[in-house]
Amino acid sequence: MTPMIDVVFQLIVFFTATSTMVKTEVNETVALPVAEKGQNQQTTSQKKKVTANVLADGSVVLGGRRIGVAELQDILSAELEQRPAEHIEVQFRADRKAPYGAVEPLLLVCAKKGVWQVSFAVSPITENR
Amino acid sequence: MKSPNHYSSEPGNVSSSMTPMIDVVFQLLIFFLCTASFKLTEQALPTTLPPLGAAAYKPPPEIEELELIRIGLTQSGDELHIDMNGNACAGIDDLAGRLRQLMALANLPAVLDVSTEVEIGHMVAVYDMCLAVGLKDIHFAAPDR
Repeated sequence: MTPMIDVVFQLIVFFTATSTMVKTEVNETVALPVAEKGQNQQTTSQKKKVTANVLADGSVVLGGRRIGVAELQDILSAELEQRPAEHIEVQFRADRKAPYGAVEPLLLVCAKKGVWQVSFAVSPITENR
Repeated sequence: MKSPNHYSSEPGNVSSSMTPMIDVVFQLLIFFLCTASFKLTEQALPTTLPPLGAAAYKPPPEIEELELIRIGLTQSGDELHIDMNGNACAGIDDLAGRLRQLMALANLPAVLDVSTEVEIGHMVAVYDMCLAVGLKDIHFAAPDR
C-alpha cells in the first residue's frame, strides 16, 4: 500500500495546482459598519450581485479596480443587456468611516438605471463590539 | 536454508498495516487547510430605492408634512447631528423615541436626507434604528444639485 501514498500525493498536488482560485469581491481592508437588522445573504439567490467596495478615503473599488460613476453606469448597462433589473442586486461594502458622498452618486446611478435592489453590507452586532 | 514463505499457510490470516493511510489523511488535511478561506460573517442591510421612472423620491405636494418623516443627518467632526422634520434630536436614542411615538399613531414613510460628509457608519446606524422601530418605507433623498 505504500506506493499508493505517492499516487495520492501526486493527485493532490495536481488538483491543487490546476484548481481555479475563485476571485472574491471581498476587500478585507473595509471595516464594515455594524447593524442589528442585517439579513443573512442568500447564497442560492438567482440575482446577479454587483459588489462595490467603498474604502475609507471614499474611493470605490469594483472587480479589483477603482471605478467612478461612469464606470458603474457602464457596468449596470452591460448587466441590463443580459438580464432584467429585477435580477440585479448592487451591494455596497462601505467602510464605516467612508463619507456618504462617495456612495450617493452611485445610488443615483442605480436608481436611474432602475436597479432597486441595493444593500449595504454590515457586520452583525456581537458582544465584543 | 529455506527462504521464508511470504504467504501465510493459514487461510484467513491476511493483515495489512494501516500506518500508510495516516499519511494519506495527513496529505488531505494539508490540502484542505491550504484551500480553506476564513471569512468574516457578513450580512446585508437592504434598501429600497425610488420607484421606476423617478430619479429621486419626491413626495407629491399635496402630502402634508406630517405624513412624511424627514430625517436629516449632518456631521461636524465626529459629532453626528440629527433632525426630524426640522426639529433637532439629542441623538439616535432620542430619534428612536420620537419615531416610536409617531409609529404608534400611523405607519409613515421616511426619507433620509444625508449630507455628503456624514460617515457611512452613522448613516447605517440611523437606518438600522429606523428598521428596529418598525419603519418599513425608508427612502434616500436625492441631492438637489
